[in-house]
Amino acid sequence: MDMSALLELQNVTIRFGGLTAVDGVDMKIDRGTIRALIGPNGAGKSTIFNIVTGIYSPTAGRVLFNGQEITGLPPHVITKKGIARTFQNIRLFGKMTVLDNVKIGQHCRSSCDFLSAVTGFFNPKVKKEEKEIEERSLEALELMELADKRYEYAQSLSYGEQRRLEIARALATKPSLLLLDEPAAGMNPQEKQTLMKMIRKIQDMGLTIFLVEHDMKFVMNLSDRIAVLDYGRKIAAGSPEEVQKNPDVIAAYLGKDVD
Amino acid sequence: MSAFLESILDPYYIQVLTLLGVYIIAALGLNLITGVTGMFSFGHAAYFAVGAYGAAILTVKYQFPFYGALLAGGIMAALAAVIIGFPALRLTGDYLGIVTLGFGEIIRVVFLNLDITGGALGLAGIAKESSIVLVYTLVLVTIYVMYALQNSRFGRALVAIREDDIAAEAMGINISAYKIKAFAIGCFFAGVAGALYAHLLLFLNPTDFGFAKSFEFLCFVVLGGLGSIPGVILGTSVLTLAPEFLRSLSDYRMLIYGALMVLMMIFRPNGLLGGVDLQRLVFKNKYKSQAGRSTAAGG
Repeated sequence: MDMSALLELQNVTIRFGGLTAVDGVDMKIDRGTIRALIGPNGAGKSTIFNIVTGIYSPTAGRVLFNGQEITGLPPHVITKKGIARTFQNIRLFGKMTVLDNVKIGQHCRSSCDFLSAVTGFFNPKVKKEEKEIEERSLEALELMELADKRYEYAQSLSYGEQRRLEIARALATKPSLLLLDEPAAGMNPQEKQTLMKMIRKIQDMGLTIFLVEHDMKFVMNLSDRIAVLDYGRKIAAGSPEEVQKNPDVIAAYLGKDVD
Repeated sequence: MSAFLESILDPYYIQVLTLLGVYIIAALGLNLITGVTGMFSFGHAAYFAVGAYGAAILTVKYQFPFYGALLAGGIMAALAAVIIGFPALRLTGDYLGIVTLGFGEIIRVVFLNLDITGGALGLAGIAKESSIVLVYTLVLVTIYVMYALQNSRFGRALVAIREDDIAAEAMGINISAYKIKAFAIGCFFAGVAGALYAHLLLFLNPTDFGFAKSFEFLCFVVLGGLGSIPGVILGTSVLTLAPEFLRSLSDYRMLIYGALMVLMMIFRPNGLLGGVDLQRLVFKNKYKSQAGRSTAAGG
């Protein structure tokens, strides 16, 4: 087995009734790299994310993380193993503060339950853990440049800030693999530049990044390797240059010549 | 202390205020389920009944000490919640509401037909044990527990489930386990409140624990402000005391009570204290300086 592959999909297939949304996809993502998954709308990109994070169970095929099978495990178990994600349609806890949102990310790295909560004000163990949660959450917020908004409600942030908060929350779970579902959607060019820098910084921290994105400039600049999906099948994979020249990719995006 | 209060207050007021305390405990339990975790429960009166009947049967028929029965009432209600929660809490929203309503009615009908509960004749001969001092001591304990829970890792997870269950699960929260725990804790307090109710009113009848009572508890929580501890206390107080203060209006009493509810929902659609963060109001400066800094940075 290739030990450098952090995530491996083997012949992953999922059917919803008669629709095969993902069809026999193989993929290997090396440690410390940035991998992009692109393709037209409805190609099955988010579905692959949902399979990797355990929201869907594949009809066939296997998902390996760190060489360990994680196919069909529940999402919270997969998160604890070290895979975190953001969502295409932002899913923040709107009526919680920015800081509390990130604290939720620390949930799977802490342990105090309801009995310790009741003794919380007198229990040094609970106080210590709560302090650690707060410190680590602030670290994640500082990385995403949101620390000064920590007491605001998540729903009151701007769109770009909300996207960054989702990343901060995911980072707080201490993942080794970070899945970003259209992180740059709805951002202006300036915000995209900042985000790109932040993603590079996250990569430098030793994380592996797997992202879905429609902004081609963003993808081509950032990714080490790209996989292209069309109608649930992987039609191409390679470096950004290779993918850009691939005739199948051009056909999938622009359509084929009639004759 | 109780004796002192009884010497200065009309026994009628003491009875009403003690009952109010009992309802506050039950409503705070429901608030954890519906307000904090976002699970609609239309069957809260059933767990209240489990605690009431459970404790009363223990003291009347088995000569259990009252405090033991009080705790047992809470535990029985929590157990009932766990048994019902396992199948029911897979559902969310309106569907969960309907299922809890159904289970609530089942529990009531079971009590109506058992021999040990006295069936439709009711259960009488319960000793008076719930003094106003005991009830309000337990109200304080309940407030403390709820406050501590809401400000802990456990409580944060519950709020996250209410806000977005898919994201909560993706962030590593075992949502089914947390929902069951929250449901059981909330029902534990309903059970304790039920046990106090039994030893306050001294007579139990299954018709007292029907849908109307569940709905009343839900009104306490919704009108007070879902998720707000002071809100729920205020909502329960207004809705419990208003009908008593309006007694002088005799026939128009319930009419005004209904109008009051409509007005409250029009002017405070999130409940009396819904959306009011008391911590934010008290520590205004801390939040303000942070907000000020962020605007400066953003500008």
